[in-house]
Amino acid sequence: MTGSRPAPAMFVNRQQLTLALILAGLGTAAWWWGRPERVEAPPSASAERRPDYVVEGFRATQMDDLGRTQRHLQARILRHFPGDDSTELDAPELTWLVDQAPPWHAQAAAGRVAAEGNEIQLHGNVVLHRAASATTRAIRIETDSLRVEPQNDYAETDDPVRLYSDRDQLTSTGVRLWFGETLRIEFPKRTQAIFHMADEGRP
Amino acid sequence: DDPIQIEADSVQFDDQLALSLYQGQVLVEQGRLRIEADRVEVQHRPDRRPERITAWGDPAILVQRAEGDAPEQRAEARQMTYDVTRDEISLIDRAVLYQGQDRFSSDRILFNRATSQIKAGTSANGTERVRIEITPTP
Repeated sequence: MTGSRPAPAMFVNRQQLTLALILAGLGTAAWWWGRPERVEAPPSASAERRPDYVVEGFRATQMDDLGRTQRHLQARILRHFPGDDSTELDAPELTWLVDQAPPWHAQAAAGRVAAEGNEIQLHGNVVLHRAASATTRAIRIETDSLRVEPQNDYAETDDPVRLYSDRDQLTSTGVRLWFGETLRIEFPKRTQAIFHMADEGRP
Repeated sequence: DDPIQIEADSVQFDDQLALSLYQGQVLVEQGRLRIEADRVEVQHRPDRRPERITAWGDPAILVQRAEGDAPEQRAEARQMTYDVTRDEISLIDRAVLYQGQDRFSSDRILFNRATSQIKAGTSANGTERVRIEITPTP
């Protein structure tokens, strides 16, 4: 994904520069974020793991060169930790758009973006879902954790997973998902799938 | 219209090809029907329901449990294709079908689950002769 980096003048202060560097790592050309409701003053630095800043009501939208929304990341609270340069998110919600198919949405109780910033580790009640369309069926995947590489349109977990698509279900341990041009899903461990042949409302 | 259940050591879905691939100790069950195979490929309809299930094994084994006065039916072949819509099963390569005590073998056998009609050999697009062993009931 090519794109121009936002001009330096864009950054009001060091916090937003650090924030943007994190998002830049998520394969972002230009991120724009909604005005954070409150940005706490960074507490005094001390040995204990403390955030150097906290953003409430964090929302960031990535656009492509034509200004079309590509990805959207929001969280109730974002905390950045200078010690390991990581970022923690409360109630993160990630949306990314895919060609010729409905967007994918991932949400969880919490998330973490490591220093490199090119992946988001979601954990706690992770739900990954896509709506139905004329050519695709709705898909919902539930698991305990999920590692998402937005830049590579890829996600994976080694935890137990449940997949629902209309009335069909599948259970397994671990999943690999490629969201690019064509959706590909792999379940590397013992897997059980049930396909309902009768229409809804009939047993 | 019984649900189709498939279990395997690993599974892959390709949304664009509407194809799913099951590998390792694969078990397919639908109502009285059960297929055991090493590898199974499912071609899905646009609504994602299974349309054609192809199983490979050495051999792949099919069992249709008895019900009422219909005897148990067993079949084995190195490849078998279950056309879900037409309720037809094609047995290909070292195909053997047992109906009760009777035994049919050829390179290709076509068997309709609903009507229990069997075609074998050239009438099932095969090339080999058909060997039929009928066990008279005492």
